[in-house]
Amino acid sequence: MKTNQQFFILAFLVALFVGPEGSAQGILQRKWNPKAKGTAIGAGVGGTAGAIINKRNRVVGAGVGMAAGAAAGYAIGKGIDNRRRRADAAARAAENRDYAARTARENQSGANAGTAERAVTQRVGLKTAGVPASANTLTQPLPEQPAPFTRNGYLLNTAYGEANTAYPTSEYRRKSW
Amino acid sequence: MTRFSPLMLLFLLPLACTKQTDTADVQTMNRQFIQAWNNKETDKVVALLADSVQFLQGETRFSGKAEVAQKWVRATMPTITNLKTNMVSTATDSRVAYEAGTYSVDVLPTTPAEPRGIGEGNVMLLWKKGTDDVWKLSYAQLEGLPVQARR
Repeated sequence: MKTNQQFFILAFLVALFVGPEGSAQGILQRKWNPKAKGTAIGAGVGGTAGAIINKRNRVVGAGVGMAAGAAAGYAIGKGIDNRRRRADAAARAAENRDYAARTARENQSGANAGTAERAVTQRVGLKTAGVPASANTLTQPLPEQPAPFTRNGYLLNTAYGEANTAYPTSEYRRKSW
Repeated sequence: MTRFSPLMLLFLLPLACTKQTDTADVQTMNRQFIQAWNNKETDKVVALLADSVQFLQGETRFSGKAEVAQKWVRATMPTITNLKTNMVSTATDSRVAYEAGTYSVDVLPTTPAEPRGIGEGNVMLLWKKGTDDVWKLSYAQLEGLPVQARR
């Protein structure tokens, strides 16, 4: 009887990791979201621990352990998921701020041509009808910032990041001769 | 004097019999090459390149006279002046000659607001004698250091 119980526990744990995909490797290679991953790991660890701890009835021990482990794993996974979402949102916000600042600079340089406000409106998607241009913060002229040519006494690499150049990873210009 | 003539001939005889090795004057070849750069003589520089010349600089690799002429010589010629080399290693034999050392060059600004620069780096020039017994630049490798802004 005891042997049968142990066999069932083992079979259950194996079935947990070897799903309909047919191989544990396939499951592990798939991209899991943090909540599912936490639940699966928690259930596996909790089930195993429960079965080991409750010597009198290992099936019950495994079940209780699995439930508790899954709940704890889900909570941890959700925490990780929330942190990632917050980081993504912060990165997007920073990107948007950069874009807005860049657009404002472009707008300022093109303001003399009289097309700047239209260009910003089109690119950023702002509705400016009925709003004076001065009310739009993106159309307010910024102090002129000439692009720097040097830093720390060295010329900057204008081809920085460009493939097929000699030193694409160097922020300073290295190509002379 | 006539007494010494046979003696002199005896000394000069081994020199006359010595086989003349046709080694290259790599210093002169490099001097011509650098001079052509400084005189903005693009055609002369290109004429000194071998057909199968290789050029290496950082992540760029150019092969063949046409590519090296276009992407290195013609692209770089208008951007520099006052090129100087200080060769520290040299070797020649009958078919290959090389010199290696350092270089310095004035970097010209591409826009009026941009400052001039001083470029320095390491250089290796390797010459090979062709089947027509003419020496041509076969391999050039440059490693540039960050270009200093001229004050």
